[in-house]
Parts: sequence; structure tokens; C-alpha cells
Amino acid sequence: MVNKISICLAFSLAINALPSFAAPFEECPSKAFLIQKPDSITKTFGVDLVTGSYSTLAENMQAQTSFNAVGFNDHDEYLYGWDHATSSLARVGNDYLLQAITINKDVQSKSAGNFVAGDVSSIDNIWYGYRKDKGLFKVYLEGQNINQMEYIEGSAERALHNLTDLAFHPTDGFIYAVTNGTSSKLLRIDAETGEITELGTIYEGVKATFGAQFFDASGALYASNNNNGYVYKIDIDNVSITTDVFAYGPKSSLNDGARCANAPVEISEAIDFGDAPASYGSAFEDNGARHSLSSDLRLGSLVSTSNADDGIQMPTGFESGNQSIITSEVSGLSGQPAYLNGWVDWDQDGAFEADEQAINNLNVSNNNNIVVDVPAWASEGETWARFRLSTTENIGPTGGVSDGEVEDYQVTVTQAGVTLNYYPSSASYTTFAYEDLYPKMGDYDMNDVVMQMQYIEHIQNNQVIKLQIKGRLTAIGASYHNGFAIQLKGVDTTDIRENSIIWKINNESQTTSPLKTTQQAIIEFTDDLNNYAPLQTGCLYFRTELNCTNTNMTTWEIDIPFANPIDENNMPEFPYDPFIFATPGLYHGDEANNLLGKKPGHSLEIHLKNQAPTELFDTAFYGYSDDVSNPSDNVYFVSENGMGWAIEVPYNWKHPLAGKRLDDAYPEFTQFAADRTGKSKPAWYLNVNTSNVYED
Amino acid sequence: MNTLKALITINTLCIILIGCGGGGSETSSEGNSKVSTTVTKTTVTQAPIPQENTENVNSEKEKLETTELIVQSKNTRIEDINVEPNNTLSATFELTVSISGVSDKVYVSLCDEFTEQQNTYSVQYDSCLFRTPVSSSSYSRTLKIANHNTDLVLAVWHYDGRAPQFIRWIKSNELANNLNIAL
Repeated sequence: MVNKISICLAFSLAINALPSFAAPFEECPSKAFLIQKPDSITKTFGVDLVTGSYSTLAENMQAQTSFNAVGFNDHDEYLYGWDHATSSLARVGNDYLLQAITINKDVQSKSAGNFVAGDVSSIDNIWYGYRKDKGLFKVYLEGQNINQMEYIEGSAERALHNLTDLAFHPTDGFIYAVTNGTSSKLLRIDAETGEITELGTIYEGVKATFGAQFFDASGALYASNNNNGYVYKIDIDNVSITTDVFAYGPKSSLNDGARCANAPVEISEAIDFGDAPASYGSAFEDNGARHSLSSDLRLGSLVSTSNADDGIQMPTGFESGNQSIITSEVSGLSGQPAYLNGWVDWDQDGAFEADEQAINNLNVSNNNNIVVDVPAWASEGETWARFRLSTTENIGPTGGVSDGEVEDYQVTVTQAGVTLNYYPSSASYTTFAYEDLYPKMGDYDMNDVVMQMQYIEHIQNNQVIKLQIKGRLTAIGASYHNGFAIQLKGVDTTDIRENSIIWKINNESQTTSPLKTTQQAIIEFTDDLNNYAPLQTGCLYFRTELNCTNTNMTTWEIDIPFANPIDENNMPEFPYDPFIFATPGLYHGDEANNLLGKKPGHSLEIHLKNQAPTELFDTAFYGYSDDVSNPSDNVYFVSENGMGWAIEVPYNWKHPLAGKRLDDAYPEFTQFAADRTGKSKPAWYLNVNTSNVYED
Repeated sequence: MNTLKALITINTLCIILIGCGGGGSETSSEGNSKVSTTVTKTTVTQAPIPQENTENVNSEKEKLETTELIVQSKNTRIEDINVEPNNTLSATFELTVSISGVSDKVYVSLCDEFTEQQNTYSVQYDSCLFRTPVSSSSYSRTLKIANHNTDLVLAVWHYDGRAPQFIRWIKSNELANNLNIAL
């Protein structure tokens, strides 16, 4: 640090001696400088490598011809490069005007001509320039040899590559460069000897000219292809062909880049990211799809960073081998064309591949109806789709771009001709709320167990071929331990293709089967819900107490394919038969103990009113304690006044707090319950006394 | 655009009667000495519908809907009521959707989140009750729907570039819960 300060001090003194010199740039800026020459005028652009977004920093650097081989000098915070008009080095400060430097050339330097590839060392205060067949040269920028230009002995015969830029590594002292053409190599150049080592191929494809190359503080190399503006990020320690574009920057026929190698490439502006799972490339660390929000161009009118994907609609399903319609709404269009690209992970391998591009560079208007072909090989099930809007053409599913928006959606692919039948809807859950003191009546706070569930039946030719269940544990307000299961009345266990069941708890795939070994199909989520209800310190229950909010709800996803598709007429009605049962081996009240002489386990079930229990239930509970079940009339789990121990509310219901009664939390419930027609207060669950219910 | 142009005017007249007592529930017990009764009268008027796509939908141009007398009983407790043995407390109703006149394949969605703007609909297709392709000439499905879901839109999309059709359905206590459409 002392050295740097003294260097800066010496330099500032030198600057003061040259009154016409501009001030230096800010210390080690993060943005890359691009020197380009559109319309024969040399300009400076500032490029954010994160998204490729750029702005014009200088309209005219007043270079007579070309200014090239530019490097950022972190010793004095100036740019240095080769001025072709004077065949000499020039310096640029924060006014972006070339300041000629008179240099003293040795013999070889005098015959070297002009340079397009060069940089300033990160270690020494020296500018290096490279030219094919001429070799490597250096110009001292301080010390007793200041402004002396020297040829590096022996480098000419090693200078076999035609390079358009090179970059100094921030710490290892070597120069690195990417060659041009259809197969580009990464080279390492020893600054002391000019010795060149080929490290491997990093690019293959359409002829590329890497006119701007930069390092960041972590030692990652960035190379920008003049022909299309694509910026590639190269790991110099693990060289391989790079197919992922890191950012889509500006393209130019003539290009040179400079950047402070000690600056990290990091997010410094408002950016919209994708939100598909990590394997698709969503976060910056994974080169995720990202868009600078510097313009008004949007899918829909909202930015999806606010979790409001609103620009894409899918009014038809995705049936394999069939067409599907996608609509897109675009706002913020200016006179410049904007392009929509879209991908669907048809094979569900967690990545968007080239053959999964469903929308290819569509020039969009404000409202667009797009027909896409769902391949016959598309896998059935839930998968992800990504849509990207930008004025940049031909962008891929990952990487940064300077404008527009990315929106990711979860979509369902089915076989052809499949109806998706949702309950209660594809955006909502139904709530099952239980009192668990059975066969004794409880306190009516209806929160001993609260589970929320969504069902999706896949129906083909009037046969249910698959059932999807999504559930979440919403509350446990009980001292007893309970399990949870769903009985599918009318469906035999053998009707289910058990080895094809896919089920996940908190997105973790499960290896055991959730099917009970009963004749009638029973899907058991767990035999002890408490294992999935993490209690916070100071809380007795899960999500039923004031000041005990907890958004960490366990989720279940279960896909049940049928080996023998179930005729729709034989499929049980929604909401099927969800029930809780006593956790085996644990005490569940004196009544059960007294009746059975043991801990009840599966013998004690609690179902919705008038849902018959499973074959595991002990029928001795009928008529015992407060139970007045009458199986001959199909009356089950009912107390003297007709209330049950469980209710279903077809809504994302807010359950009562511990000790707060259902009729206090929802004053209209009793009117609804007392009216056998169901027409009094049919939506009683919307009229809530908020002080009596749990809220996150 | 062949979209339904629906104009719905709802006039609601509420009369609050105090102290009538009784009614609404044959099992009301003690504690109802002071009750309030609400009579709600709702008139639904629907504009003529383009024939080609909606001739069977809500053909009544004017409907009169009157909810039944509701007894609003303060402080009624669960212990004060008697629930009928066969009353399962299900807060759902059934709706039968019938589609006829299908010539080319269409895709149909019944959804509960939508906005109406300038005589057309913007539908949230990720909030639907069912979604299906229809290739046969007719199609019918009976759905179980939550009681609060009383305002729905059926969206019919054609694959041949024709504009989609939207049919709005609003629950009426007077009429059977049917949604019929002839394409």
C-alpha cells in the first residue's frame, strides 16, 4: 500500500507538471472500457460485464486514426494504448481525450509498426504490446527508463498468432490471450520472455474475432467477440470449449477493451433474474438468465423480480405431439425491434437445450399469439419454461443481456387428449381441519391438525389415468401425535402402479412407498405429523399461537399413476377421504386406552363427517363416548348435535388460534351449519374475525 | 373478435328486518330471542349474446334472483345448533359445463381469476378448475366448486387462428348450475 501511495504521489506530481493532462479515472472501476470506431470516430463505451449493458462514455476521443492495444493501469488509474496516428503510446484520463506520450524506441521497436493487442501489467507499471511476427514489446511508465520502448529478446519467432487483444492476469504475472477464427485457443504469454503456451481450445464455431479481453479480480477471463458482441467467461485453470454466453454486449467491426483486472465483476445495477430451479441457470453465480432493467421493455407490465410473472399466458395445455398456443404481452416497445425467445425443458433433465427452444427470435408486437409444437418425445409431467424478451437477437437461455425481461413458468405436459381436473382450483388449496380428542368432543378450535391439499386428476377417455396430490402441513395445535392419510374409496391398491409413484417431501424424493398394504387404496403421508412440524423456541404448538408465526410448512407432492385407469364414475368424489389417525405406540387419550386396553394407533381414525373409516379402524368406537355414528345410515364421526370432528373448507383457510373457537373466529359458521340446504352463509369462511385466527 | 359482450347490471335491494325471529333453520334453538333477517333481492340483466358462439348460454335476458331469508343469529354457538345427520358441511356446489357444436379441436379452460376490459377477458390460466382439449362434437363435465367461486369464465381457444371465445358464468341461486355453450 505504501508503494502504491508513493507511486500515486509521484505520478500526481508528474501530472501537476503537465497542466494539460486530465485527471485519472476513479480507482479501479468495475466497468470495462470498450474503444470502438463506428463511423470512423473513435468512441469510448462503458460496459457492465454482468449484463452486457453499455453506455457511451465519450463521443469522440479525437484519435486521428485508431487507438488500440489499450490497457487500464491500476498504478495510476489511466488508460494507456497505442495511437496509430503517432505510432506511439497515448494516455487517456477522465476526459477521454488522447494525450500523446513521446517514447524512445529501440531498433526492433522502430520497425514493429502499430499495435492492436496490448495491456498494462498488473504487477509492474509497464505497458506491453504484441504483434504477430514482430514479437512482444514493453514501454516503461515510471522509473529511470520511463517512456523507453524495448523489444523482448527472442519473442519475434514465438509471435506466430494473430491477436486482437490480450489481458494481464491480476496476480500471476502472465499475459493471456484468445486467438481468433473458427477454433480459438487460449494462450499464456510469459511477459519476461515472450514464450507462448497453448492452454487449449475455448471456442469453436462461426469465425470469431476476440477484440476485447479482460480479467476480473477472481482471475476469470472475459473475451468479447466483435462480430456479435458475445462475451464469454473463461476459466483459465480448466480450459474447455465454452458454449454458454456470459453476456450479450455491443458488437463492433473494430473493438478494443480495457479493464481494471483487480475489480470484481459484480452486480451494480437493477437486474431481473430468472427464477427457475438452479440447474436451469437462474442465479448470477450460475450465469443465470439476467436482464438489465435500464429500459422500459418488459413482458407484461410488471417486472418478475417482484415475483409477478405477467407477460406470458398459456391458454392451451401442452399435449405431447400436439400444438400449443402461448400468448405474450409486451410493453415498453420503442422503435427498435424486440425479440422473444422461449424454451421448455421437454425432457425434464433440468436444463434448456438447443432442441428445446420453442420460440425462436420472434419479432414481437404488443400482443402476440404464438403456436408452438410440443415434441412427441416430451416427457409427461411438470417441467419449466423460460421466456426472454430483449432487443438483442438470438439470445440463449442463460447469460446477461442489456434490456428486457426473463419470466420462468412451471408448466404441465400431458399425453394427448388429457383433461386436467383441479380441486379446488389450480391456484388454491382446500383445508382439512381436525379435532383430535375423538371419541370425546373437543374445544372446537379446529386446529389440532390442519392440512391443506390440492388435487389434480388426469383424465383421458373418461378414465382417470393419474392423480396428483399437493399438500402442506398448515398447523398442529394438539398434544397427541397424529398421522395423516387419504383413502381412495372405490380404488384398489392394485389399481395403482406403485413402483411408478413419485413422491416428494419438501421437494426431496422419497424411496419408500406411501401406499398402505390394504385392499382399498390408502396413501399415508406420515404416521406422525409432529416429525414435520418444527417448533420454535417458546412455542407449544405449530402455527396456532400468537407470536409463534412460522412459514416453514412441510410440503408433500405425490403423483399416483394408475395401472388400471379408474372410470370417472368409479373415482371417489373430491375431496376424497382425508383422515388423521393416532400415531402408533403413543398415548392418545384415556377414552381410547379404556376402550381398547392399549394405545390405539391405526385403530383410531378421524374422518370428515359421514366418511366411513378404513378397514384398519376399530369399530368399537361407534357409539362410544361422544360418538353417535350409525353405519347402517352411513352416518360416521358425528356427535350428538350433528357436528363432526373434522371439517373441510375449500379455501386457503385461516384456522383459529389455539383456544379460539370456530364460531368466534367465523361468526357465520353456525348459520351455515344449521341450514340443511347449505344456502345460508354458503361462503361463511370468508367472514373472519381476524383477531381469532392465525396469520403469518 | 368473437367474444361475448356481456353487460351485467346488478341491483341489490336490502331490507333489514329486526325481531322477526325464526325461519331459515328449522333447528334453531334457544338464544334466538333477538334476530335480524336480511332479504336480498338481486336482478341480473344480461345483454344479447352473439349467436354464433353463445346461443345456449344464459339465454334468459333478465333473471331475478332472491336469496332465501337468512336468519342472522347473534351469539349462536355450535352447542346451540343441531346439524342434520346427512349434512356433511360441504361448502361446495356442482356446476355442469356442456359444450356442443365442436367442429375442429378447441382447448377449453374454466377459470376463476380474470379481468374484463373493453369487452374481452384477460384470464389467468394458472387459476382454473379444469382444462381440456375437446375434439369430439360435444363435451360435458360436472365439477365440484367452492361456494365462494361464483364468478367464472370459460375460455375456448381455437388452433386455427380464430379469436378465442369467453363465456362468463355467475352463480344464481334461482337457476340450475349449468353452463352450456354451442360453438
